[in-house]
Amino acid sequence: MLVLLLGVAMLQTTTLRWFSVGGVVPDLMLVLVVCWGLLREWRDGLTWALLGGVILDLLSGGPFGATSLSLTGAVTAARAATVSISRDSIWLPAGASLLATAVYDVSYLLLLRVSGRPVSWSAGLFQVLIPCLVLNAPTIYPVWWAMRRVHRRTIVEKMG
Amino acid sequence: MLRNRSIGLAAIVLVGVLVATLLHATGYFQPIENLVSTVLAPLQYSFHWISARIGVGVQTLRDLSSLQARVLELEGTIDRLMIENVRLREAEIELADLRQQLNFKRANPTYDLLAAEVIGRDPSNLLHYIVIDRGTQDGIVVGMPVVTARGLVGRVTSAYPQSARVILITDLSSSVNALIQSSRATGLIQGQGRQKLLMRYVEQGEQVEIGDIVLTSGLGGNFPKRLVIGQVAEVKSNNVDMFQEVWVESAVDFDRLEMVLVVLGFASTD
Repeated sequence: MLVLLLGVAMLQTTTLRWFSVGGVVPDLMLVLVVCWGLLREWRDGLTWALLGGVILDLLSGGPFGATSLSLTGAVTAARAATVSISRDSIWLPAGASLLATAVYDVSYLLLLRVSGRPVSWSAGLFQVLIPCLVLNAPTIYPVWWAMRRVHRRTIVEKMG
Repeated sequence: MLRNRSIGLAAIVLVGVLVATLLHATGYFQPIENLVSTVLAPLQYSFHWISARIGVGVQTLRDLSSLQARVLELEGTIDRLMIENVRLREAEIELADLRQQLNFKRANPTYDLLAAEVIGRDPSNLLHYIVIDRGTQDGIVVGMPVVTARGLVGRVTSAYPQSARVILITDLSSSVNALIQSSRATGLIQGQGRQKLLMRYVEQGEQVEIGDIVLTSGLGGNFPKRLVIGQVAEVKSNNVDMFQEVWVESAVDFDRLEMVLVVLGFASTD
């Protein structure tokens, strides 16, 4: 798990910039932890969000803990909103991604404000949140399918 | 009797050949030769045409295997040349970049500059930081300005043994004291999250034109003087406000940042 989270963190801070649109890259870590939080129990998603968030916080110039807290909030919100939706629904990943991205970015902006950093809500909304909503929605699908396979394999091993 | 008939026949053929030879030598046999040639030539041509086609087909089959080998060889050569071409193109780009930096260093001999490669970006889209591959082991200290040959990039905010984090001037929490080169009007450049920067606190009466070069003023001691920040892209002013709002297009393309220069020996007063 730690190796996967470290790999995703490295991809997000290095390789993904070549796929940026308007200076914005997909939130790969967010997408990954949301997928895991939906497929497994809430505490599994929470664990991944906290660990993945800590790794990103160590690589970030922002206040320490902001990423982990924002990821935790995003996973919780996505899970709570989709609790009655079938995990086989084709719209589930996209819907979860949109909600999680909104919660993540708004939480992060609030935490930046609380930590005393200047924040531009208009720039945050139009330059970051909206492009991220567009980028994360298609990004979640390949991650969702991959994590579903991992989930099914690990569930079978657990039961076996 | 049969034997006599055979001898007679042979004698007749022999005489006939001798006569034909004599006639051919004297030219009297020419009309017969022409007639025979006229009849036989088309037949000969047809046979030649068919055998030539068959011959080409047989030769093609023979050449096929050697042609396949030749195609594979040429494809391999093409692949190698393409890779070589890409490598040379990259070297050309790097050379142009290094020449620019060398020219910048020559134009600013008072600065002690250290080249560094950008190896990472901030994982958050809301923040604008880069990570470079130089750190405290190379003499990097927090507060050192970072530039490229085109202009100001930012400032070192964290330094580790083998890397350092740099806040870009486009980050919202970044501010740089600046001045307009032509009118010497001063102001404060603040990052707005994208390529454009906002220069605040430029007094209403100051002359600011689109295209004016914006430089660091050195006020506050955070950055050396006269480093290029960018060019004025838009000016918003009205009589009600005390200050003008000047939008500046950065000289540096932050989306394509690959190599930077750290200004060593500059002690920020922060």
